[in-house]
Amino acid sequence: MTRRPAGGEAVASKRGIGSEQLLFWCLLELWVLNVADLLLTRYALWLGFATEENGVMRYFLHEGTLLAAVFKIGIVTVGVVALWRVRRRPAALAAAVLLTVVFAAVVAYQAAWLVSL
Amino acid sequence: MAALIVVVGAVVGVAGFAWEQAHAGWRPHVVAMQGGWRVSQPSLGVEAPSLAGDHAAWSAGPYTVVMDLRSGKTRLIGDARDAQSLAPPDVSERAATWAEYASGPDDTNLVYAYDFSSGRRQRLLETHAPLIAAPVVAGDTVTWLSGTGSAATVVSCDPATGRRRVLARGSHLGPFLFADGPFVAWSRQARPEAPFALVVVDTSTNEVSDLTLPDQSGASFDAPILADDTLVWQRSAGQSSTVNAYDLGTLVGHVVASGPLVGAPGFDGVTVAWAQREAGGAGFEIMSRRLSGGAVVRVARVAQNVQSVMVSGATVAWWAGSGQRSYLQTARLPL
Repeated sequence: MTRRPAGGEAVASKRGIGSEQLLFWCLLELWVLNVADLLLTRYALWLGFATEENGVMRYFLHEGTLLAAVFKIGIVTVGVVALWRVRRRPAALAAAVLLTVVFAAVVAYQAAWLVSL
Repeated sequence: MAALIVVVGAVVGVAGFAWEQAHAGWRPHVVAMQGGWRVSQPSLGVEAPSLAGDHAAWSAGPYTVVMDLRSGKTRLIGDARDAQSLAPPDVSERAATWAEYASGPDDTNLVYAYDFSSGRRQRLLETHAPLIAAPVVAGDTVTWLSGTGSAATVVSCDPATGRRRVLARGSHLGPFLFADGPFVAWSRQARPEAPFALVVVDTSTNEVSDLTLPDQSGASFDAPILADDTLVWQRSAGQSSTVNAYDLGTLVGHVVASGPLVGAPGFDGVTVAWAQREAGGAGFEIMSRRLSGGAVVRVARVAQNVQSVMVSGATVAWWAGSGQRSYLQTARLPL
């Protein structure tokens, strides 16, 4: 005997799937934007017109691009996986949205600066 | 929805960039003129411009700005707000160089290079030793003269490779330093009032020449320009002032211009340009003539006092006015 979900549970389930999908796409965008941020920062540093304000990243960029890439991509990947693991919590989606907005702003700022050259 | 989140962030980032640019204090006021541009720096003034090929560079307060003469587009290449002062920029067809001084416990002097094609800026030198002359650039190679006493050195550096080469080490070097093509030249003077000698190094063959300019007695020399194996100086003796050209090999010289000259002349190896007081008028005239001979041509009339004239190919430029009202104007050389 199967139990059919009541109407309220079905709506909640659909909403859950919708926010999970949104979280998935936000985390994917966040990961891609993080890579773009790394590439644009490295290029701006090579051009000689930028300084890395983040002390940790400054250390890794000084040590080499590969090490900086491993650290930056690695730490964001860990964060993305962690947020996905707690995807049922509303705070996970809020954090992902906020981080995506911040990273998009940073990447757009850098891209606008490069276009202006 | 996910795409909208990225768009919101991008709009915030672009808006932040636009706001920052709108409030930037370095932006010059550029006006297209017939055959050229007129550049002023509101509340800062244009200082010590340099012209070569398709680019001009100048200082404006703590900033060093470069302009593409084809498009009129300007770019901030140096921001010395943390430093105390600047050495004027020098440009070649391919690069610009300038120095920044920061006095204090560190007393640091910095020499920068900016490559026009890649848009890359590099810090070539960070030293506590004073710079005796402003750095100069020929092609891609930047040369500076720094140090004190017997430890003064002339060093050239290729920014692309970072390779440095000490061209000279010793005392009494400077204050003149200039370069063109493979040639680097500097003055050597035991005492300020003594005659000076010129040391010319051909960096392609390492040949060194020691030359002494004739007619130094009672005269002062300013604004040397080396181009195409010819050295052009402004020579002042008493009330008279002339623009003299000297063949670098023989130092045989001849007068290119004389009269009520004002400011520093310009020379690109082919054409000499200078400013002089207008006869019977209150203004000034920008004049030019071919080094090989020919008629003197009036390029423009200028109402404000002219501080220097520059020429490169078919473009002539003059730096006129003073203080915050100074400006740089470019024009086509009359055929």
